[in-house]
Amino acid sequence: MEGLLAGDDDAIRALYRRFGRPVYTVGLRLLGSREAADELTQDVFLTAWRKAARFDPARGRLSTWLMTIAHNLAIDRLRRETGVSRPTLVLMDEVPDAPGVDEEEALLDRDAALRAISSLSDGERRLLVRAYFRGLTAREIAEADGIPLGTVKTRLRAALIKVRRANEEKERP
Amino acid sequence: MNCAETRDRLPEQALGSTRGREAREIDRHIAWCAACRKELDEFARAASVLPFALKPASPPEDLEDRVVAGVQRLARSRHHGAHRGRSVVVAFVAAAMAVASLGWGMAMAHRAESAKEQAAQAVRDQELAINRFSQFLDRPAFFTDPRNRISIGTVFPLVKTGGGEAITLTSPTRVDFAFVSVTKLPTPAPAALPYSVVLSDGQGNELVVDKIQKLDGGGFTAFHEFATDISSYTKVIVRDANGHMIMQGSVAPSNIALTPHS
Repeated sequence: MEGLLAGDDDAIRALYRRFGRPVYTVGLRLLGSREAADELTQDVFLTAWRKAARFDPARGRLSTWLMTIAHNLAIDRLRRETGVSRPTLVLMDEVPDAPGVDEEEALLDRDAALRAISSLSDGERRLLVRAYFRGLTAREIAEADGIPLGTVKTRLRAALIKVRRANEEKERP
Repeated sequence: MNCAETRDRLPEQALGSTRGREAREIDRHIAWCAACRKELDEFARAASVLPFALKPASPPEDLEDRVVAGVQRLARSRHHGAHRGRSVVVAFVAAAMAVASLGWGMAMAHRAESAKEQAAQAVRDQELAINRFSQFLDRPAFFTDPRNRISIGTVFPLVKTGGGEAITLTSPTRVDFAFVSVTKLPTPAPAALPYSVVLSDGQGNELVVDKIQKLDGGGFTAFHEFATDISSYTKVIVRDANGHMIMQGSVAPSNIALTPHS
């Protein structure tokens, strides 16, 4: 983080090489254009620089922190740009073969994501997609589906707990 | 917002689907509640793997160089005073809250335990105010346009105790902000809440900053982003639910220059 704050070339490149691709992916898949994904990626790393001094490793991993920034900025933009058609989200069914391209950490991230997604029922998966990737509130989902708000909140909590447990099992030695 | 109400909303907060006041109230709660903060961190960690489930896309080859150049430009601009401008304002907020919370004379007159407790609360209030305030101080664009102005003022009580500070940030090109922080108000009767915090232009026009449903240790912070120009709204008024004015003050342009070359 010190290197990032100092504008150190190697530090910034290391961070980008680790997270540039998933951040760009969030931009492209959620916002639907390469231009928007490009802008989002730059915004994410600029925001990371501005907030670097407040990153607390005791509270969580760097990937959690950075992908939260990426997600929040993407959702903010989604909410501002009303009336724009959104791309269909494509989730992976299996880790894609990309020999010689992906580093071990990136493969582990995707493996963790697949474990998390596969632990969910179809209904839970759709719910998380709407809440996380479309930025819908529980109330908006409840109103759209005609079900009680409390039911949506309970299902969101249960789905997220499943995701959390799937990750904890993966991290257990 | 208490722990039960906060915990009910933590999955949504972690998923980024809370908005506006609800999200701010959750942030306010977890700033001091370690248990809720821990649970939120666990949910956030779980949610952070979800982006990796998206079908990967390859960024353009030159994006890396552009990201590096952008961050380095920002790092260099810190040396032109943007950081100093931000630090000055943050320091002002901290000092203002310390004075409002402790009251130098009161701190001297109280017993050591009471003053220590007040000091600890003042630190918590400061951190909360700084966290809230620094969210929009982290936007470097505000510090690069010399037309952007900051106005600061004191809010005085019309009741027995209390005091506070108000800050407005106005920009011809960006959204404007108003931030009001108050401490040491007497405990209100239930029927007196919510308090309304408004900006007034002195000609009968008012803009609502926030509605305060309950006080937190005798105080509150109110914050609002405005898409309209608030530069003419220089009076700050706090009213109770019955319309009685309980605090008032005004803001005036400060001499803090918010340009990268200040």
